[in-house]
Amino acid sequence: MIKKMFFLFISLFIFTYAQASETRYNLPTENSPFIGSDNAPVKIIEFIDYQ
Amino acid sequence: MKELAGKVKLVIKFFPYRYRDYSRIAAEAAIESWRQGKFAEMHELLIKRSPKLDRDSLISYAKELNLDVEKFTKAIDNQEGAAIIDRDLKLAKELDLYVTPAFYINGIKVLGVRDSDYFKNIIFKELENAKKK
Repeated sequence: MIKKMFFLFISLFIFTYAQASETRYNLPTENSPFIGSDNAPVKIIEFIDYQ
Repeated sequence: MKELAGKVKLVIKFFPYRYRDYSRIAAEAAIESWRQGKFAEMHELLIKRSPKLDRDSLISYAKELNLDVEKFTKAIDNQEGAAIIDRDLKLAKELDLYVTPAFYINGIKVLGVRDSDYFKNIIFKELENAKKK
């Protein structure tokens, strides 16, 4: 039983991992500073640590 | 990357590591510069001068960019950007991020430092996609 659960977990993990590369995240950008033109076709969100 | 002028919008989210001395105050400096209308300039300067990001250095960068230094100093001392930083940190946590830089290019996640060709590839693909629409 434990073994079965383990395999289920692993396959679920692999499945979600494979899906992840196709995922497009929709993140909020209001009230954040930006560089470039506001309505540009490509929008890059960067999480940065300056140090 | 002149060819990309007008085609890319770069939105910055702040993800200062808790255990680095100047991460947080540097983010405060960026936010106050944004409020004074010089975000791009300060953003570039912070990256260029990092890790020299102690309070005195930040104030000298503000001077260099002709910011209102008194207002700037007050802002970083009083952590006036805290609400923005904490909001971004919360978002990073929700996204399970633990490395910087982390990018989302039209929503596609890219983690860690990559060479410029890697980014160009994705950006040009996205521009092609945008044309088709």
